Amino acid sequence: MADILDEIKSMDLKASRLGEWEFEVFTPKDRLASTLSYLKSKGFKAFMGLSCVDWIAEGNFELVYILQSYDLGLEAIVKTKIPRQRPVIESMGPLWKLCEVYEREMHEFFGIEFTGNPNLKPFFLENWLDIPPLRKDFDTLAFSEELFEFKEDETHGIESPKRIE
Amino acid sequence: MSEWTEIVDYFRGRSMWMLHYCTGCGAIELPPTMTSRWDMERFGITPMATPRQADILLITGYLAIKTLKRVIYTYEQMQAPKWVLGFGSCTINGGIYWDSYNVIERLDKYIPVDIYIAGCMPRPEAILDAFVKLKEMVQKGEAKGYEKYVKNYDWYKANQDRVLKRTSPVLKEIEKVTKIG
Repeated sequence: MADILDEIKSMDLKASRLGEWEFEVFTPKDRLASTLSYLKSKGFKAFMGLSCVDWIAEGNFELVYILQSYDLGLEAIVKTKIPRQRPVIESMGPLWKLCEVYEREMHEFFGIEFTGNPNLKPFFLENWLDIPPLRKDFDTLAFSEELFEFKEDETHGIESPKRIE
Repeated sequence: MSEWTEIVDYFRGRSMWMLHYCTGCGAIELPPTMTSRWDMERFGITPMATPRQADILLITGYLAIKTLKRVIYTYEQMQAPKWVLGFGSCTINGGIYWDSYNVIERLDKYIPVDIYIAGCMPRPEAILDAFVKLKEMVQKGEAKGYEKYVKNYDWYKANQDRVLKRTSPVLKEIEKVTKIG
């Protein structure tokens, strides 16, 4: 692992070891594609997942790409930050086709735009009209109370049925 | 109530086919209930594969908005007389998903529930207890949830549409909220 970490550090990227078989790399947004394709060429051929962290206080979304190498027995975690106000980043579909599915999910739950991904239509949610639900500023409790916790008598002007005792 | 109704109700209570709609984790309690350990067949209840031939709809666990739609389809396909059992605390008040954006809170706002089984999870004994109770209610002619659904269809339909056919955002102050970031 040490030689890969040294090489990454020589590319002016922050990288650190997390454990025996795991390391993380921090990359700016515009160097994400080159970092990922470098790691892919080094043997990290398996794309395991993409997730997102909403750092609301600093105003960033952090995208986390997890790669694995079966030959080396290592896992690489590549992190990049994009501004919350304008969350646009290029799609990693050309590197791993599978990535487009994860991007579709991140688009739905965080509202991130992936340029170059042709299929960003709704995935899990049906008829969703509010802001993306996994953003930290989305108040799930208020949403739940508003949509599900309505009083029986005040609904729609129709008399409610007697409850079965 | 004629004598015939009483006789019919008596036999209805002794042979019920159950459709279990396994939405949540509660489904794990059903195999022991069905098989030899607790053996619910001795109460005259067996699983049925299709809604059109089933009498009991057992809803085991939380209902997301998407699943609620399918549950309503299923319920409306079943032929009367039909009964609904809400299983676990998720169907009663949302359970641990009480503040989730995607899980409904109380099932009997959308379809009539005859018996709720409390617990997270209810043990097979609790399920059998509910079956016995339902059998008594059916034989006395008390479990009339399906008639309630027909009589109050407007109310149920309005509640269903409120969740399933939203036309505007639920939270009104979105502009204010999104500016924080």
